[in-house]
Amino acid sequence: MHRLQNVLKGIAKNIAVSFFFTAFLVFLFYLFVERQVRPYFTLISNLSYSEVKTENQTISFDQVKKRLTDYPNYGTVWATIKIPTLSLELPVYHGDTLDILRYGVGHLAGSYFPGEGGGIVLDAHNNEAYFGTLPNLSVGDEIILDTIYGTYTYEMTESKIIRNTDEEALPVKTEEELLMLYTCYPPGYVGLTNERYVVYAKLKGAGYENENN
Amino acid sequence: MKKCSMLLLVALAMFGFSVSANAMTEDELASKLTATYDVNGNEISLRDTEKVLVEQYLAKNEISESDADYIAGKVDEAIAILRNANVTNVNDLSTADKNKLVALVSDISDNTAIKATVLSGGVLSIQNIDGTEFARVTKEAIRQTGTNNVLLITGVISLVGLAIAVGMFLRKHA
Repeated sequence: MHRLQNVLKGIAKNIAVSFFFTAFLVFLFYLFVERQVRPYFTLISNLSYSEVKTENQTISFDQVKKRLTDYPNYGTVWATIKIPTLSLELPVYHGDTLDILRYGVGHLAGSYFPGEGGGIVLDAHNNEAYFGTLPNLSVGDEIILDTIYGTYTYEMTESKIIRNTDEEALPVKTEEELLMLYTCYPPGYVGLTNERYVVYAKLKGAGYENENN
Repeated sequence: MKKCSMLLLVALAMFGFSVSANAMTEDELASKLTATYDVNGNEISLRDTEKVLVEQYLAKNEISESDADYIAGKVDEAIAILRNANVTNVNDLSTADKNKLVALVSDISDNTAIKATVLSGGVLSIQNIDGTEFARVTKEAIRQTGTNNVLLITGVISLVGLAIAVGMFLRKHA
């Protein structure tokens, strides 16, 4: 009995050591390696995600009603965001669950789409691969949304650091079209944070691929 | 024959008249859903993002007048629950009253073409009429977009493990 207890103690000790050692290895991986390999995981994920996409939907822009003829299904890619100054090019998904944010930029459901004349809210993680470099943008820098129904170019007008509860800083019912990009602040911060970094941009020009008059 | 036809026509006209007199259009439903209501001295309405979702949902999905009527009725019930609970903030509702509101969502899903499910964490998943997901609505408007918490969690676990190991080492060699 005593021997059995010793054996069980030994096994438990080995399991505990393995558990903590594994946690430490995972910690080191995410600290030093994950950032470098993330773009490859993202690319693979995007390739697999894109099969379910808006290819099954025919969406165009109704110039008369000033809105889309249909709305992308939740969780599907409907645009690519390009920020030349930051050498950033990322897929934009409709919806912004944590699952979606693992693969690209989320679009806040309940904000408008480009061309509709209201507030458009896009959010992404605050690491370098996503929106972590937003603070490097300057007023006048271009942000391009290449959507499935046309290309929209925006020009940055200002940026702010806001509280995570400040909904009024992300208005959707606006007089003019307003693009807002936000991410957790400070950039690269690990864990929960109470601050958000927001870039505001106004519409500079639009080109419609699928017009529906 | 003529008399029967006349009676039939009158019946149809009356029925048709009564249906169109009570039935709610999509625009009327949108107005009702996005209206501001006085609840115990407080003004309550959907958030702007939720109002936009209503606009987009109704633009994307054809709602029948009977479904619109049904939903409008449930909106009235929801407002009544809030008023009877005598609270000025929905967060102050009792669990029982919150469950009543959730039951209204299930009611709409069971009795109309509009399907919505309350997921874990208080997330409301709304489906399009064709069964695809339309949107998820949460109580938080601004998402948490910090770098993932794996680093934090594994870091803490590692520290705990290290602390235990150091403690055992010191005890052994004390």
